[in-house]
Amino acid sequence: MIRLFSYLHLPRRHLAHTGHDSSFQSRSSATRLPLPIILLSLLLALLCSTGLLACGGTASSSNTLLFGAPISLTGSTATEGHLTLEGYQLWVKEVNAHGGIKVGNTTYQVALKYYDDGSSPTRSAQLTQQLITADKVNFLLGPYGTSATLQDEAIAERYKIPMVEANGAAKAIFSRGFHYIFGVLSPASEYAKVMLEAALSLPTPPRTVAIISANDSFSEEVATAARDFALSHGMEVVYYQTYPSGATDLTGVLTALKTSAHGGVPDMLLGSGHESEAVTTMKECKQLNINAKLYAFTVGPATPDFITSLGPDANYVLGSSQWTPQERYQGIDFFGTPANYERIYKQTFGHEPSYQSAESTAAGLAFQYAIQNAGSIDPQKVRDALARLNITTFYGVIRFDATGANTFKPMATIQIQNGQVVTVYPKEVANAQLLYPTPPLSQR
Amino acid sequence: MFGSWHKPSTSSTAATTEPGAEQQTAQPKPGTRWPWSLLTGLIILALAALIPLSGDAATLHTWTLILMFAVLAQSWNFLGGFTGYASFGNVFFFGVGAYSTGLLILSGRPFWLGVLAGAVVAGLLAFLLGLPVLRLRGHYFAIATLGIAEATRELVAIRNLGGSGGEVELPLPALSDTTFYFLFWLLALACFLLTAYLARSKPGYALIAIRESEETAEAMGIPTYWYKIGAFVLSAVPTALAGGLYAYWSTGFDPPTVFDVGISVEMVLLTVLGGAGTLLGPLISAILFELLSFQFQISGSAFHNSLLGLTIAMVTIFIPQGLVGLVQEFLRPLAPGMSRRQLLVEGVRRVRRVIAANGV
Repeated sequence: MIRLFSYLHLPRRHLAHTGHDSSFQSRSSATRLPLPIILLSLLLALLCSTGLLACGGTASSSNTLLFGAPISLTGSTATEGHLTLEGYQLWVKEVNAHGGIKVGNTTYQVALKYYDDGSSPTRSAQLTQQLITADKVNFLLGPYGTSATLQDEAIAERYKIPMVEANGAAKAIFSRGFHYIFGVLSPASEYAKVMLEAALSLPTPPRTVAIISANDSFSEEVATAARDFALSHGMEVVYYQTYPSGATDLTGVLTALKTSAHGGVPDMLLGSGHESEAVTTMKECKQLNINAKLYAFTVGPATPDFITSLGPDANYVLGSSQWTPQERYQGIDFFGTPANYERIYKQTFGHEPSYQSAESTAAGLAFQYAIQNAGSIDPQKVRDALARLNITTFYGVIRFDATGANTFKPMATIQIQNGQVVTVYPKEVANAQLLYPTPPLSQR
Repeated sequence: MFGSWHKPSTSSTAATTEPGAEQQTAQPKPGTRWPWSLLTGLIILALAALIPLSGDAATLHTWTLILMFAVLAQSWNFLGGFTGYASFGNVFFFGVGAYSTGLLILSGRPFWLGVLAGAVVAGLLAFLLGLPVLRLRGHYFAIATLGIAEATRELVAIRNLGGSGGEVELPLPALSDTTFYFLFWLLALACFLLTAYLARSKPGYALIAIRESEETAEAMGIPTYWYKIGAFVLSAVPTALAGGLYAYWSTGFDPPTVFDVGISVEMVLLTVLGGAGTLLGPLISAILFELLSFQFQISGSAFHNSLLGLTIAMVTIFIPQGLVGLVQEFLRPLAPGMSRRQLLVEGVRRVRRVIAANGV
């Protein structure tokens, strides 16, 4: 190895034009590789290492069903991408451990082929194309996020390969008249609706609500649906304001909100955005002495970070979740219940499952039962079986409407009580009572 | 705008006032090198036109992206390479092209109208924005362009152009992938020919003069301000055309996708890696870089981005003049009494110097 780099350690005099050098050079050159060969072998080594890794991923045989997925393992949504991947991987591991998928008299093992799209929709589309035409995958699982799904679903549609996605909730994905896209998660409109329903189920429900929303497409879609739902159910929307996505200071918005309900604080504050913005809202509400009777955020309260950053101030806050381990579903799949899924997931990956992982596993289950029902691995027949699918799993109901969205699964409302996440609504799956009203933030 | 500077040939008549003449005397025998790089580029593009024959859709997809980035890098080269004004916000024009096309298709107009409208709008915006922005230089210019692109991304999201949050979903395109490929190919060819023209014409020399010394160029009578604006418009129009094609081809996008600062960075990266201000540089590095990065991406290695970054760092440290510059150095006639081996040794010595200078 040292000899390889001996060029770099040549003494300076060695390079000058003197007789002394030329004799020195001829002596040593016999034991040294020429530079071009070194460079060439380095290049070859590089190509081999990437090439070998490429073919080492999956073993394809006639009795293996290959599922492809472009996932963001690096870039801005890397964390969520990894959770998505773990969900897919858990499904693959368990389905193979339970004997694979039975189609007629043949049993298929399942393999997953995934690429990292670097959180770029352009790359995601390119890799979807690669998965379909070069890797010849049988079916597609979705990427993480709406932006990538919008581009990938168009390619799936063109090649008529069904794609079940688990991590894009925007209505836009399903409003294009495509026939090969299915999403297992509840659509964006449900995120705020379920929390408003929980609030309305109280004996003395909040009457006025203020809605603040980040300006990304998903958050705005949620906020618009929330406003419509609140208005149609007799709540008064006293304040509605969007702010730039990723904002670190919401003082301006909250100051305006403070006196929006006929000169007072609204009964309920609903935030549609991201975890960091939910944390900021709570901190600044305390500073500004804004005491609503109920705080609710679409994204944030379900994550452990929310509780650790806010401490006792996190208590009483409502959140919505696609899935929680506390829900009480009795599924027909091998996971059966959310609690059992949580146990198996923890055994496999060593940490708590998030809803992103559960959704992703559910996408695999949707394929599994659709393929069994179709009795075929023909993409067209499996697509038709997906359209007809109606099953209850550990994740809840999986059933698609005409656009491919799973509008039949309710979301869950969670509340933080004594630093723990509990499920409070819908009543059938809840494990705790909704605590109301929230005591003033200064008295904790 | 360029008319007054472009006289077909013989520049010797006005050698004292025109920078073009100076350029020709400064460079020994430029005429012999230029047709070769022109020919090489045309051969590369002609070979690229054969890609659809392979019949492999994944390859075609990758090469479509290669040509798209070749267009973006080549048009960035007009301003960044020739004129020496490094814009970090050229993705702005890409986004403008994409949104013009997307919104016009949504309103029922044919797609080609949208693409052309996008180019016109981008050209006008480049002119209007260039008026204040091109009074800035160096870092200030880079920051201003970056700011424009970032601000526009937010604005599009807030105004809900297209759908909520600026999402645009288009129907599946009526054109085949091969048609898209050749549209990008034509655009890449046009950019290449334009670069070839600039490399050998008075307007091009004027831009190079601005890069080398703006004061000197001004003193020699070049209306530098208007030339810079011209170069800005020139780099905006093909970028917007590519954005428009991308919009229809990808069928769905949102502001973070088409106003992605990463695209701006890639334009700069490709041009600098290939050789800023050269004819072949952006084209060749678009091909090599995109193929390499795709190979890394499908390698399944978790470190593909790190590997790619490392490769870029190595190239910029060891061949700062770009790939084209490196090749030119190897093709350069040897000094008398110098063997190929000594040239190599000299190169190695330079590598050592870089390493020594960095204290390794």
